[in-house]
Amino acid sequence: MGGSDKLLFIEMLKEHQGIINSICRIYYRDEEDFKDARQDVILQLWKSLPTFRSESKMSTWIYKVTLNTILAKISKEKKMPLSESLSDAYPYYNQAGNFEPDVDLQQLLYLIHKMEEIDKAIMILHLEGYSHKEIAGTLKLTATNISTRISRIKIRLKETFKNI
Amino acid sequence: MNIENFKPSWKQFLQHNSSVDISQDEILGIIDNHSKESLQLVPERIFRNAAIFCFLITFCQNC
Repeated sequence: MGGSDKLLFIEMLKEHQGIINSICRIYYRDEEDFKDARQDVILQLWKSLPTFRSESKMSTWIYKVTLNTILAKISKEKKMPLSESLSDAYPYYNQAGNFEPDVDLQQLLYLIHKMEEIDKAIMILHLEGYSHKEIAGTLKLTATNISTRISRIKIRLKETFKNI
Repeated sequence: MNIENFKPSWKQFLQHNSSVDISQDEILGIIDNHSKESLQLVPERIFRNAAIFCFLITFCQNC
Protein backbone atom coordinates (compact mmCIF):
# COMPACT_ATOMS: atom_id res chain seq x y z
CA MET A 1 0.00 0.00 0.00
CA GLY A 2 1.34 3.43 -0.95
CA GLY A 3 1.73 6.87 0.61
CA SER A 4 -1.78 8.01 -0.30
CA ASP A 5 -3.21 4.89 1.38
CA LYS A 6 -1.27 5.76 4.52
CA LEU A 7 -2.65 9.30 4.55
CA LEU A 8 -6.21 8.04 4.05
CA PHE A 9 -5.67 5.47 6.81
CA ILE A 10 -4.40 8.17 9.21
CA GLU A 11 -7.41 10.36 8.38
CA MET A 12 -9.78 7.44 8.95
CA LEU A 13 -8.16 6.59 12.32
CA LYS A 14 -8.32 10.20 13.48
CA GLU A 15 -12.01 10.33 12.62
CA HIS A 16 -12.74 7.14 14.59
CA GLN A 17 -10.14 7.33 17.36
CA GLY A 18 -12.94 7.60 19.95
CA ILE A 19 -14.09 4.04 19.14
CA ILE A 20 -10.56 2.58 19.28
CA ASN A 21 -9.61 4.42 22.50
CA SER A 22 -12.91 3.57 24.22
CA ILE A 23 -12.71 -0.16 23.48
CA CYS A 24 -9.04 -0.38 24.49
CA ARG A 25 -9.80 1.53 27.73
CA ILE A 26 -12.70 -0.75 28.56
CA TYR A 27 -10.46 -3.82 28.33
CA TYR A 28 -7.15 -2.40 29.58
CA ARG A 29 -6.98 -0.03 32.55
CA ASP A 30 -3.19 0.03 32.85
CA GLU A 31 -1.78 2.78 30.62
CA GLU A 32 1.00 0.62 29.12
CA ASP A 33 -1.39 -2.27 28.42
CA PHE A 34 -3.81 0.22 26.88
CA LYS A 35 -1.12 1.54 24.53
CA ASP A 36 0.00 -2.00 23.58
CA ALA A 37 -3.58 -2.97 22.80
CA ARG A 38 -4.14 0.18 20.74
CA GLN A 39 -0.95 -0.56 18.78
CA ASP A 40 -2.18 -4.10 18.01
CA VAL A 41 -5.55 -2.72 16.92
CA ILE A 42 -3.98 -0.10 14.60
CA LEU A 43 -1.75 -2.75 13.01
CA GLN A 44 -4.68 -5.14 12.53
CA LEU A 45 -6.80 -2.35 11.00
CA TRP A 46 -3.94 -1.58 8.59
CA LYS A 47 -3.53 -5.25 7.63
CA SER A 48 -7.30 -5.68 7.22
CA LEU A 49 -7.82 -2.48 5.23
CA PRO A 50 -7.86 -4.27 1.83
CA THR A 51 -10.78 -6.42 3.09
CA PHE A 52 -12.94 -3.38 3.95
CA ARG A 53 -16.01 -3.30 1.73
CA SER A 54 -17.47 0.13 1.16
CA GLU A 55 -21.06 -1.17 1.36
CA SER A 56 -20.69 -1.42 5.15
CA LYS A 57 -20.14 1.60 7.40
CA MET A 58 -16.53 2.39 8.27
CA SER A 59 -17.43 2.61 11.98
CA THR A 60 -19.02 -0.87 11.88
CA TRP A 61 -15.86 -2.32 10.32
CA ILE A 62 -13.71 -0.56 12.96
CA TYR A 63 -15.85 -1.99 15.79
CA LYS A 64 -15.54 -5.45 14.25
CA VAL A 65 -11.75 -5.41 13.76
CA THR A 66 -11.06 -3.70 17.10
CA LEU A 67 -13.23 -6.00 19.22
CA ASN A 68 -12.02 -9.18 17.52
CA THR A 69 -8.37 -8.09 17.86
CA ILE A 70 -8.81 -7.34 21.57
CA LEU A 71 -10.71 -10.58 22.25
CA ALA A 72 -8.03 -12.61 20.44
CA LYS A 73 -5.30 -10.79 22.38
CA ILE A 74 -7.02 -11.46 25.72
CA SER A 75 -7.57 -15.07 24.83
CA LYS A 76 -3.80 -15.38 24.15
CA GLU A 77 -2.84 -13.58 27.35
CA LYS A 78 -5.48 -15.32 29.50
CA LYS A 79 -5.77 -12.00 31.32
CA MET A 80 -9.00 -11.29 33.20
CA PRO A 81 -8.78 -7.76 34.60
CA LEU A 82 -11.91 -7.79 36.80
CA SER A 83 -12.79 -4.92 39.11
CA GLU A 84 -14.31 -5.52 42.49
CA SER A 85 -15.52 -2.08 43.45
CA LEU A 86 -16.97 1.00 41.86
CA SER A 87 -13.81 3.02 42.53
CA ASP A 88 -11.65 0.25 40.98
CA ALA A 89 -13.71 0.38 37.82
CA TYR A 90 -12.74 3.82 36.65
CA PRO A 91 -9.44 5.16 38.08
CA TYR A 92 -7.82 4.92 34.62
CA TYR A 93 -10.48 7.24 33.38
CA ASN A 94 -9.16 10.11 35.46
CA GLN A 95 -5.59 9.44 34.25
CA ALA A 96 -6.63 10.39 30.73
CA GLY A 97 -7.43 13.95 31.74
CA ASN A 98 -9.26 16.03 34.30
CA PHE A 99 -12.59 14.65 33.19
CA GLU A 100 -14.79 13.40 36.05
CA PRO A 101 -17.34 10.81 34.92
CA ASP A 102 -20.88 11.39 36.18
CA VAL A 103 -22.70 8.81 38.31
CA ASP A 104 -24.38 7.10 35.34
CA LEU A 105 -21.06 6.66 33.55
CA GLN A 106 -19.41 5.35 36.73
CA GLN A 107 -22.22 2.81 37.05
CA LEU A 108 -21.88 1.81 33.40
CA LEU A 109 -18.11 1.31 33.76
CA TYR A 110 -18.64 -0.66 36.95
CA LEU A 111 -21.18 -2.90 35.25
CA ILE A 112 -18.97 -3.47 32.19
CA HIS A 113 -15.91 -4.28 34.29
CA LYS A 114 -17.85 -6.99 36.14
CA MET A 115 -18.69 -8.71 32.84
CA GLU A 116 -17.03 -11.55 30.96
CA GLU A 117 -14.88 -10.35 28.05
CA ILE A 118 -17.36 -11.41 25.35
CA ASP A 119 -20.26 -9.80 27.23
CA LYS A 120 -18.34 -6.51 27.35
CA ALA A 121 -18.14 -6.60 23.53
CA ILE A 122 -21.87 -7.40 23.27
CA MET A 123 -22.74 -4.58 25.67
CA ILE A 124 -20.63 -2.06 23.70
CA LEU A 125 -22.29 -3.02 20.40
CA HIS A 126 -25.75 -3.01 22.02
CA LEU A 127 -25.16 0.50 23.40
CA GLU A 128 -24.12 1.55 19.90
CA GLY A 129 -27.54 0.47 18.69
CA TYR A 130 -26.58 -2.61 16.66
CA SER A 131 -29.23 -5.34 16.26
CA HIS A 132 -28.70 -8.83 17.68
CA LYS A 133 -28.10 -10.12 14.14
CA GLU A 134 -25.46 -7.45 13.48
CA ILE A 135 -23.74 -8.15 16.81
CA ALA A 136 -23.76 -11.86 15.99
CA GLY A 137 -22.11 -11.15 12.61
CA THR A 138 -19.47 -8.92 14.18
CA LEU A 139 -18.50 -11.34 16.95
CA LYS A 140 -18.99 -14.53 14.93
CA LEU A 141 -21.70 -15.86 17.27
CA THR A 142 -25.33 -16.80 16.64
CA ALA A 143 -28.20 -14.30 17.07
CA THR A 144 -29.79 -16.69 19.61
CA ASN A 145 -26.60 -16.67 21.65
CA ILE A 146 -26.57 -12.86 21.60
CA SER A 147 -30.23 -12.67 22.73
CA THR A 148 -29.55 -15.07 25.60
CA ARG A 149 -26.47 -13.15 26.72
CA ILE A 150 -28.26 -9.78 26.56
CA SER A 151 -31.12 -11.20 28.67
CA ARG A 152 -28.54 -12.37 31.24
CA ILE A 153 -26.85 -8.96 31.19
CA LYS A 154 -30.22 -7.30 31.89
CA ILE A 155 -30.89 -9.65 34.82
CA ARG A 156 -27.38 -9.03 36.22
CA LEU A 157 -27.89 -5.30 35.79
CA LYS A 158 -31.03 -5.39 37.93
CA GLU A 159 -29.31 -7.53 40.59
CA THR A 160 -26.18 -5.35 40.65
CA PHE A 161 -28.01 -2.08 41.16
CA LYS A 162 -30.40 -3.60 43.68
CA ASN A 163 -27.36 -4.19 45.91
CA ILE A 164 -25.87 -0.67 45.60
CA MET B 1 -32.39 0.23 35.94
CA ASN B 2 -32.74 -0.25 32.18
CA ILE B 3 -29.79 -1.04 29.91
CA GLU B 4 -31.01 1.57 27.40
CA ASN B 5 -30.55 4.29 30.05
CA PHE B 6 -26.79 3.86 29.67
CA LYS B 7 -26.72 4.90 25.99
CA PRO B 8 -26.07 8.62 26.77
CA SER B 9 -23.28 7.59 29.17
CA TRP B 10 -21.66 5.47 26.47
CA LYS B 11 -21.85 8.44 24.08
CA GLN B 12 -20.18 10.57 26.77
CA PHE B 13 -17.42 7.94 27.16
CA LEU B 14 -16.88 7.83 23.37
CA GLN B 15 -16.80 11.60 23.13
CA HIS B 16 -14.23 11.89 25.90
CA ASN B 17 -12.02 9.25 24.27
CA SER B 18 -12.32 11.00 20.90
CA SER B 19 -10.24 13.79 22.40
CA VAL B 20 -7.39 11.37 23.26
CA ASP B 21 -5.26 11.86 20.16
CA ILE B 22 -3.59 9.03 18.25
CA SER B 23 -0.63 10.88 16.73
CA GLN B 24 0.33 10.62 13.08
CA ASP B 25 3.88 9.60 14.13
CA GLU B 26 2.51 6.73 16.23
CA ILE B 27 0.39 5.43 13.35
CA LEU B 28 3.21 5.74 10.79
CA GLY B 29 5.66 4.09 13.23
CA ILE B 30 3.36 1.07 13.61
CA ILE B 31 2.64 0.54 9.92
CA ASP B 32 6.21 1.25 8.76
CA ASN B 33 7.66 -1.23 11.28
CA HIS B 34 5.21 -3.83 10.05
CA SER B 35 6.22 -3.21 6.41
CA LYS B 36 9.93 -3.56 7.31
CA GLU B 37 9.32 -6.79 9.22
CA SER B 38 7.31 -8.21 6.30
CA LEU B 39 10.12 -7.35 3.85
CA GLN B 40 12.70 -9.03 6.09
CA LEU B 41 10.65 -12.22 6.09
CA VAL B 42 10.62 -12.52 2.27
CA PRO B 43 14.33 -13.53 1.79
CA GLU B 44 14.04 -15.88 4.78
CA ARG B 45 11.06 -17.65 3.19
CA ILE B 46 12.80 -17.88 -0.21
CA PHE B 47 15.93 -19.35 1.40
CA ARG B 48 13.93 -21.89 3.43
CA ASN B 49 11.87 -22.99 0.42
CA ALA B 50 15.03 -23.26 -1.74
CA ALA B 51 16.70 -25.42 0.93
CA ILE B 52 13.66 -27.75 1.11
CA PHE B 53 13.55 -27.94 -2.71
CA CYS B 54 17.29 -28.83 -2.92
CA PHE B 55 16.85 -31.49 -0.23
CA LEU B 56 13.93 -33.07 -2.06
CA ILE B 57 15.73 -33.00 -5.44
CA THR B 58 18.90 -34.54 -3.93
CA PHE B 59 17.50 -37.20 -1.61
CA CYS B 60 13.96 -37.97 -2.68
CA GLN B 61 14.26 -38.44 -6.47
CA ASN B 62 13.38 -42.14 -6.32
CA CYS B 63 10.61 -41.84 -3.71
